[in-house]
Amino acid sequence: MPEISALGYAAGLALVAAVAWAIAAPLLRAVVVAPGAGPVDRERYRLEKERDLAYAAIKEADFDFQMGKLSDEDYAALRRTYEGRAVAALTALDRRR
Amino acid sequence: MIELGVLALRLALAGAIYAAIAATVGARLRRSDVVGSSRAAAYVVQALVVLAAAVLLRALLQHDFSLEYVAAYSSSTLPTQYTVAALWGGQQGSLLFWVLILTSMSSLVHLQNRHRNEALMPYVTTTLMTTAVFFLGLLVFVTDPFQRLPVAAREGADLNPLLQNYWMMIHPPSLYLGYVGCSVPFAFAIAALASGRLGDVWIRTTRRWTLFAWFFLTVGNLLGARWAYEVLGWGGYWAWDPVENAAFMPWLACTAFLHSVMIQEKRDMLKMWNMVLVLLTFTLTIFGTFLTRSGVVSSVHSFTQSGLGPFFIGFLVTVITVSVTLLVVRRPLLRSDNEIDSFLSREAAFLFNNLLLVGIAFATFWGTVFPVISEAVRGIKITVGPPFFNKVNAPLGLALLFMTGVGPVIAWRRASARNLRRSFTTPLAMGFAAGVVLFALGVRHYYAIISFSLAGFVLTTISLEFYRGTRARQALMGEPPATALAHLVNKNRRRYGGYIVHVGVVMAFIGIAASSAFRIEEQRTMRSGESIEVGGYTLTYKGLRHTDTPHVASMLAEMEVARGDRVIATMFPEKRFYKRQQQPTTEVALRMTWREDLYLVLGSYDDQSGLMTLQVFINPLVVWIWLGGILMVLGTVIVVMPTAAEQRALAAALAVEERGLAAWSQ
Repeated sequence: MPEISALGYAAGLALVAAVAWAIAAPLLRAVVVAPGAGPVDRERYRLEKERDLAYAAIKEADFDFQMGKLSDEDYAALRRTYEGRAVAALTALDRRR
Repeated sequence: MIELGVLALRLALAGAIYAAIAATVGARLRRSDVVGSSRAAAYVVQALVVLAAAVLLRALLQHDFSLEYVAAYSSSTLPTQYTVAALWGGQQGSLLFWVLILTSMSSLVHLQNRHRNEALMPYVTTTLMTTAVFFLGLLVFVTDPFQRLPVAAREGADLNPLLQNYWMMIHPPSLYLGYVGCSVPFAFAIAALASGRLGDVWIRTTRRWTLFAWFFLTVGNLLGARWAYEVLGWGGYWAWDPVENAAFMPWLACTAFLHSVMIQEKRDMLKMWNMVLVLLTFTLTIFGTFLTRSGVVSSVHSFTQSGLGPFFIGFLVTVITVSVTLLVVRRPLLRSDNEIDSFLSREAAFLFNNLLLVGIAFATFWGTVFPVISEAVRGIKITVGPPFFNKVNAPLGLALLFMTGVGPVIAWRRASARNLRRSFTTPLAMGFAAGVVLFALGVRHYYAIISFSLAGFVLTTISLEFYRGTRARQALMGEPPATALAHLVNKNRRRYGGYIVHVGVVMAFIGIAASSAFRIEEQRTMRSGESIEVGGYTLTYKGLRHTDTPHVASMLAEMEVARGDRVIATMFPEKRFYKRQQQPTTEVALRMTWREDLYLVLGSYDDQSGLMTLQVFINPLVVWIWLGGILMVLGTVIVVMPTAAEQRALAAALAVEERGLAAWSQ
């Protein structure tokens, strides 16, 4: 093991001090209560998600129909289903406002 | 200087432990200062690991043979580019390189999410830093890259000659980027489970990271195959070697996840399955690392026997235990109200594709670990070789290829038999025609006929997708064809980029099928001036040449290659002798065309008489595999580029969560 010079020790100490300062600095700032552990408004989340999924499904069905992947009946049935779901989700969201 | 590296690693370990603990404690106590401190610690850990890696690299470049690592994996005559590659060419260096990538990705993730995902990020920090603690712990306590020799060596033992190759310079970093990239989706999955926020946010946030990991796993696997093809000199590119399998398995699980996650995004289904796939992918990356480093399997890739195996098993058990516990606890939140509307739907096709991918992964896993289990339980070492893997995986692979063609044609949610008939008639006819043509040409290799027929089927479905999509846009938007096609791809990069990836996969299948079924192989002993005919080539042996440098001595056979009367190339298959390692290697001479590779290997030779043994391989369509790889890369780049719609979707998902948080805070 080679001898470590005084400069080496100084560099090592400087490194330790810099690390300690960088990690400790945030602890010296004002504490803000972090929004982290609480529950989400799950029902609202579910409804918004339901609405967005229904929109996406309608758009997708339109494109698939244009591409010839859906029959007239399947397309109409899908549109009915997902328009119904979108309306139900929007109504429920309106009631929560 | 070396002591600075030692100190940096120790401080990095302490910092990572602190970051891992402080992040979760801060989240639980809802203390922004503690969470902020953990984030700062994660950045500091990266800086320290960069410092340690720089110290080791400097020692390598300065040929500091007082370090055991430098003396074991480099020499004073090793070319500079391989001296740099020695950083990841040995056990300790590659672990340091691994943790360097991990902590760099961790910093990038923290930077990307500094103003968002506040609920998830502390747990992400904990997960990433816990992984870093494991690797740093190995480096500090078990396998120190800065270990000094009692007496400095006068010369290094050199890097393994098999690794002194261009492809080996870029294959390991690519694979490591893929392996370590899987840590990010894993960390977000664990964070979602731990925080109970199991909506879309974690998936949308990590979509690009998953693609990034998949991209590098793909590139890493292909580069590895290319390296094996050019360096190992047996005429092939994939031998189902345990370490090849170790890199292939996470790729399969990651591919399955990339497909099934779309069902979650579109239908809010398969949440549990997606979680399992993310956790499985990460577990398989650690398992792959374990296989390479534990010495439990013999492979051309594995590092020497080391004592790292038990540590990796311990870490694997911890990862699996934590993952399964969280999955069980959060099971109620992972249930979905939606169901698959019809088995004739794209989501059902994706599900089947998932089962095939996981099936191939399982078969590969079983074939890889069976010899180890057999030896441990019965004391008998059994070799599970390519015949097993080919027998099991070839049919599954062909079924997967078939599904690659089926998926795009079926509509989401529901498809009627009449529409399927309409969609499938042309592709099936093209596939059938391809098979008939091959049969008429005299091909009797049935796997090859099936592969080419399926390739014809898939390529037709993909072409029709582009054609019908363009037509649909023309009808809906009134755009001219070229504009409609450009907008079609641009507005839906994920779908059409994905199709380009699929074309790459089909090309790779074609290359694999052709080179496996129609390979020509000859071995001849020749005198100077003698000619042989192989597969339409006339090969004339012109004599041996000898070169010598302080690092390596070479013997080259000069081979003139003619087709008919026309000389088309002169090739130099070569035997090298690396002086420091006292090890001979074979350097293949390769002439690549889109039709076939002419692959020459110099076997034995007699300098006195000029006699030499030459192995000749003619491998059809191998270049299609590499071109397929390039298409996969191109397709992934298109998929990765964000669209405005995706950014809106992520912003919306984040906004929903933020509103939820705000509602809770009031």
